[in-house]
Amino acid sequence: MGMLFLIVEDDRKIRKFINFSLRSQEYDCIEAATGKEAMRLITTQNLVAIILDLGLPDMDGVELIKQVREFSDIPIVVVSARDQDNEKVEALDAGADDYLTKPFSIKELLARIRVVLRHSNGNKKEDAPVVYKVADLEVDLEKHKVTLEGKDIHFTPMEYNVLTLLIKNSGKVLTHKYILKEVWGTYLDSEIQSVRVFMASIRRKLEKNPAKPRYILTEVGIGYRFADE
Amino acid sequence: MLKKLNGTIVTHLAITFSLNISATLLSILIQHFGFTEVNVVVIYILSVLLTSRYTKGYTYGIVASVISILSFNFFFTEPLYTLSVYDRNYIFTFMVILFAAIFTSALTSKLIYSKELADEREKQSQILYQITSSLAKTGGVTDVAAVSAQCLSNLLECDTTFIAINQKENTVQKLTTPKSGNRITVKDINSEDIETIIANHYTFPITVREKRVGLVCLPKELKAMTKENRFLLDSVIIQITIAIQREILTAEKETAKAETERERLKSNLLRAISHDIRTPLTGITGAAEMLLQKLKDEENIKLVQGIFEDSGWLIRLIENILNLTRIQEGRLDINIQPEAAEEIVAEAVSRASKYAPNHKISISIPDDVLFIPMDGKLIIQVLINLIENAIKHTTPSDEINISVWLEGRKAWFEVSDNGAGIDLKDLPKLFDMFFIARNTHIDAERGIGLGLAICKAIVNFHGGEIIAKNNNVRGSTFQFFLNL
Repeated sequence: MGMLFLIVEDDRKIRKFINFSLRSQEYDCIEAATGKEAMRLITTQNLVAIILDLGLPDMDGVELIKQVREFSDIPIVVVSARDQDNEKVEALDAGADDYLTKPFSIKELLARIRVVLRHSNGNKKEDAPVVYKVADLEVDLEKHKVTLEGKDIHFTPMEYNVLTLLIKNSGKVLTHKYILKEVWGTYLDSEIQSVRVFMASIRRKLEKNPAKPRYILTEVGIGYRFADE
Repeated sequence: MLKKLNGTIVTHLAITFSLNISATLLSILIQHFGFTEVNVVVIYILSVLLTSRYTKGYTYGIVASVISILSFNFFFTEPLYTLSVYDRNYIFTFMVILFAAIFTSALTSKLIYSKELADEREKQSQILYQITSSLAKTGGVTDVAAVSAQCLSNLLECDTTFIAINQKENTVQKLTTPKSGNRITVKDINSEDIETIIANHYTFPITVREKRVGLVCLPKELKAMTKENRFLLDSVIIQITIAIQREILTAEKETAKAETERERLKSNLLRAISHDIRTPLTGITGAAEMLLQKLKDEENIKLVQGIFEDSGWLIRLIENILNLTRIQEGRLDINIQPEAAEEIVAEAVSRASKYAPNHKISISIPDDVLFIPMDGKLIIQVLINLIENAIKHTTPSDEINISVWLEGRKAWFEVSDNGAGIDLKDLPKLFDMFFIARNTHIDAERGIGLGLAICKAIVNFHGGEIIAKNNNVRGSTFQFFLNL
């Protein structure tokens, strides 16, 4: 049996578009136009991932994510308009794995899906790699060593923690809140600034031009993503 | 006037003398019946008292006292019918009568004066009250002017002209009420005529917030009015000023309210339309993309590619309009916080170059992290618009440079290219809404001239400024700064 996706979207045209994109990759899809219908399908079907529009007619998308997260780790990719940043962040903090901003292309959608599928498979195997290699960058988690083009780069312990958090989740967007919680152990709005400062100094060690980042991408208003492709 | 004064003197003297004669006759009568001199003295004092009551001022009272003594002396003291006195006691009696008479007459006239003053005051406050209450019922400056002219005309019994000056619309109205009747004529006049009217009248300017909003013009003869009238006139003018001030404030408030209401309606409409357009556009873009994957025929692919690109462009336009409505409304979701310049530039470049992958864009930013307070999404929009503008005016072989630098407390952003540059004639209008540069080919023309106007609106909203100039060699440069 192929991989089964659930598309939760009230706009028929966008639903068809997502359906088409997934089918082009030989994935199987079922569709739901309402939150209720979606909950029914999530509990009865064996899904690999959910693509969820945040603006549902009958319930709040963030609420749906919270409900699903109570019993399942199934990857959820959120779809929303550009002016719904706050909802996106809320959805991600509630447990969504990634997001797409309307309008998105088939390429973008498939890239996100590949990343969430890889991460959900990685979790199952439970033997995450010890050495991460992305382009010229190599991070050895066992030896605490970072090399760029074969040269050692020194990071402070905090910077190293941020970097490894990003690289372990490469391809996935991490919210400021998530990074703060994972690395600092606390979360205060006022501390978002310190995440930015750390990110800027990490970038200066990794990137040739921090304004044209190769490794650490900014999702303005949301968080950071480690580029993996 | 002088005649009238003479008239009153004559009347008052007549009152004084007739009262004295009556007192003398009465005294002769009662003496004839055997009453003592004491009664005569009392009758004379009574006559002085009455004189004071029915005449004005001290003078007649004193005159009455003196002639009372003289008549008493003449008619009732030995030797009779002469002005000489035998008995010294009478001298003393005269003195007492004189003092009593003067004292009582002074007291009486003072009382009368106070009463008159009180009456006058009451009359004034009643007039003021009437004027105030009729002014309170007015609506609009012209109405206030009309009521004022009528009230003043009634009060001062003269022709009254009120010049209402509307500073905002630069119009002047002349309202005239003639001496008799409540007729009022309204005429629009030129502001140059005001000076002539001032020269020919006794005028009182009405100023609100240091601006002349009206003139009360009275006949020149009134310059010589009494102190009381002058005081009353001043009070009335203060009331008029207050009324006009009230009208101006109300009008301003209403205009402001209507203005915001209109703006809000416009923005809401624009936003609603934008939202509604965006959804089908997303569908169109998606459908076009699906078709692109399916189609094999080269010509069909080209057509669908056109649909795909155009709908993508429309979506970006909608994005711009939505941002503009956010700025114009000053909505609360404009979120100003420190953003790292490099992150903003990177995001803008990656989004703008999505549609022009062949153009090369180079970026230079300061070595130190630069945090600038801004609404990240809006500044990204500015940079995207500038970059897209640069892309539109260049070919892939040209260069587009983006740089960020710090100068004092200002963070400068620059997007420059070595493309066609800006027509010098276009430079001043570049940031106007709906302006399209004339050197773009009709075919290539895509903008409806919103992009740069939105940039300016966003940058100005942040307290910064945006400028455009041509480079020395080739191409143009757009710069803007944000305050740290």
